[in-house]
Amino acid sequence: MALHEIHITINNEPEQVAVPANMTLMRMLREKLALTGTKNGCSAGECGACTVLLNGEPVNSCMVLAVECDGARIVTVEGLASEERLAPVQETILSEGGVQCGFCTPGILISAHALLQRNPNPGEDEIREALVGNLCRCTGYVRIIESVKKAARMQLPAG
Amino acid sequence: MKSAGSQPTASPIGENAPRIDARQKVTGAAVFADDIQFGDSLLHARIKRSPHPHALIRKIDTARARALPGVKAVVTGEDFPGHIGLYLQDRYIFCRDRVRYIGDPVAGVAAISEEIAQKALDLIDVD
Repeated sequence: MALHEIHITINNEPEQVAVPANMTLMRMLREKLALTGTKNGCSAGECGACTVLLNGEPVNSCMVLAVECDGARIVTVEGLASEERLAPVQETILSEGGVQCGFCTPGILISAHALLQRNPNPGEDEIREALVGNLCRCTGYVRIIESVKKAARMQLPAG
Repeated sequence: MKSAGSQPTASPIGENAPRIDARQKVTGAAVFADDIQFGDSLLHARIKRSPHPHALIRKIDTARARALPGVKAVVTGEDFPGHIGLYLQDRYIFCRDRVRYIGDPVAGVAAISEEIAQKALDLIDVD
């Protein structure tokens, strides 16, 4: 199949990738760029394990074609931490026991991070709403939601 | 935690302990089985299964499947005469003379892509 050259910014790094037209963003991240933090759960847009930020918005990367992303900014779980410091929601999911098997964690982190960026002080309903598209088969939802609440508190007053 | 010596060792009971692998998991660094990178050496396997609840196998022709570019191996019951089984060793790996349920494995293909492996399955003729 013919390859298409696309230019994208991934985790603040410019990248040039040659992709076939039928390759999803998820497969490009995992197979072309070896960014395997983004997980392949259902390949059908149901589970949210492949969630990434596309121009700042959370999307299921298995439902987006790589060629559609020419010129876009992508952030994956590998790009959430800045240098040696974890993002607040990474810190609290770690400390509050929000990780069990860890397969849904990258998608949860991206969805929660996007929520906290557009709404720094979300209520529990808003947190649940933001995470409806992320399934956790360990069913560790309570601790995940507590983690997001704590991350919001953490970043609120001191910044 | 204090090291052993004159001071008593603190008990871990009742303490919060983060999972030892949680840091890798929150940064995406944890490697799950599907995350292992094989590059171009990875082959994809597919199994051809019986569409019939019970039927005799007269002949399996794998020639067309083997001839498909990208197909690395095609196996059938002919290749595995021995029985297998957890408690009763009474099953073939691939069916030999007959199939006994819908989904009974009849042949297997390994190829350089999932699409080619699937195409090869369709080229296996079972009579």
